[in-house]
Amino acid sequence: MASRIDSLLTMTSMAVAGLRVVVRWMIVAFFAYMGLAVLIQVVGRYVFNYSIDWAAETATIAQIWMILLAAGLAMRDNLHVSVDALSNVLPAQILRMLTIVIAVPCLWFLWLAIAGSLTFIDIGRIQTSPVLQIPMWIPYLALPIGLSYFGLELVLTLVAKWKDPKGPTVQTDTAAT
Amino acid sequence: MIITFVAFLLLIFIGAPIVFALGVSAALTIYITDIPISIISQRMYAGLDSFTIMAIPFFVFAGIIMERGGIAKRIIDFSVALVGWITGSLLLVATVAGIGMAAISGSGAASTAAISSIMLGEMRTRGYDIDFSAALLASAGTLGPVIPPSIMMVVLATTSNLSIGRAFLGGIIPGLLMAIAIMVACYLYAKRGGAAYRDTESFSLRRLGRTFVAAVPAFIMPVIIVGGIIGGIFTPTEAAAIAVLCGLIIAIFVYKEIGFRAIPSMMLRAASISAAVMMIIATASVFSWLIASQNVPAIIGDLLHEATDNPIVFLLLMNLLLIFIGMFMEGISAILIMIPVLLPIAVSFGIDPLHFGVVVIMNLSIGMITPPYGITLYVASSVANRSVLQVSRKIGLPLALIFAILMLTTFFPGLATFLPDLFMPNVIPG
Repeated sequence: MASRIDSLLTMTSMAVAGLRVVVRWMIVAFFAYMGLAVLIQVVGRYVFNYSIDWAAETATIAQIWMILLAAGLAMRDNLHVSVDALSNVLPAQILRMLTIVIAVPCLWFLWLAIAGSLTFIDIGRIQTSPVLQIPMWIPYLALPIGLSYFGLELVLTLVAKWKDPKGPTVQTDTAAT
Repeated sequence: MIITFVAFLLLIFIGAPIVFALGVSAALTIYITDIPISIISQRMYAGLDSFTIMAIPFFVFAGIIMERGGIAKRIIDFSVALVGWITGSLLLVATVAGIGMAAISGSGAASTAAISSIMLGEMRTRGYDIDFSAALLASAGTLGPVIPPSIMMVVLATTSNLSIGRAFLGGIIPGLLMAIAIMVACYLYAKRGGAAYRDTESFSLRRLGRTFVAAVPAFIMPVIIVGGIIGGIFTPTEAAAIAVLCGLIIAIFVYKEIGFRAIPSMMLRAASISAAVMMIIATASVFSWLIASQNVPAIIGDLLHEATDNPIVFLLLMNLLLIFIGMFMEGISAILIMIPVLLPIAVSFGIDPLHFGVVVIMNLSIGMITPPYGITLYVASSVANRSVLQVSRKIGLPLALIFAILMLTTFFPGLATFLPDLFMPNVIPG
């Protein structure tokens, strides 16, 4: 029995590791595309005297995908800022309870946002983007996919916090401010 | 609406990530008031669907390239040659390097991390008071958001419909005044400090020239970024992408500190940091939609107008409020939460939105060195291996002098508006 649970856990963590590799490469690809598209836009305007509308449109779609996928990555990197007033004061037992108090509304919110995005995608089937006529469900699809991955990383982080309530919280080495 | 704010504060207090505190409290209100749930995803999408905020991931990426690509080191070498001969030399060097880093990267925390890790060792060797040194390095980090380019200003400008170029220009004079204030703090402290601080290197024009040449590629970047935006050559997003390209070329081919293989990991780091900021933009746009639809600014504005009609009194009140918020909250989140409420009120008091924006940025920069939560204070203390409490005992002098500059900018709007009006008078927003 115990070995079956163990092998299940190993398989789950392997699946998560595989998923993370895929997500990472998608993020790198979208980011690289954004950079190239914006630079092409500049070159087009000044060198060829030609305005490239599709560059901004596709770069923005890539940005939406990149950010929504990286939301989960940032969760894993502990970069989502919180006001960390209580963790030094309260005992580990109460902090453990608080993890659940925090987890429930956060997951509820993600669930609402994912559910809402499905109706949004339905509308996206008949909408197209202004320049390239890209069907809008393509950028909209980033919401349920990115937010689901975000939710997964949130659960994994909270489980880690449950095990070690006084563990490291916010990483500040290169925050954006 | 009361439910929204109570839920928000409660979630923040128990330590929920701000991105969720905003989302949950807005979702709760939407859920209770029978507004269709799909508004949540719609507003979040709208928050990210912007070519302008693409400047954020690019500026973050450029900052990481500076940090790992040896650019910080050249700037410090040049600063040593420039001010290393004055009493309290290393403290002054840290401040001058802080100006240089602020003019290149968009973030104060990143420049504090870079400068502290290079300089604190030498400060310790020379027998400088390590707590004051760390406090000073943290103070130099406050220049990051004020001196352009600045990620905080990009967020401010996009949430308040100001021109990013004008906001960047507006930060230059107050930022340089803050730098002077910090240098005065160094000098005053070093004068009383004893022999350790008089141990300086002699000034050499040759060395200045040599280090300047080495730092030139780094100093070209702010010229391209700020010059390009002001001259209308690039949009801020394009300027930020060009900064990334220049940074990569300098770090890989000129300084040869990183190779192509380092690019994907730097990208992931940049994506992660940007997502932390931009997901807050996404959930904050649900929140700010609610605030606007419930007329909150008008209600609070009416209350304030009953108390006073004097714009200066209003600005002083805002300074108090923002410094208080800055003590507990990180700057970008504070902007996203507070600006949609405060800016319309400021305008109703007849305050120039750009002046107000610069004052807000300065306040929140000061928030980076005020305990208990001050990000550059935290970064500098951890590099110095001292507790935030030990370092914050020495923050008083630089803090007081920076605060004086904040007051000056509050009373003299021209400090913020002079350069934008001079160089970009015709830009309509802002």
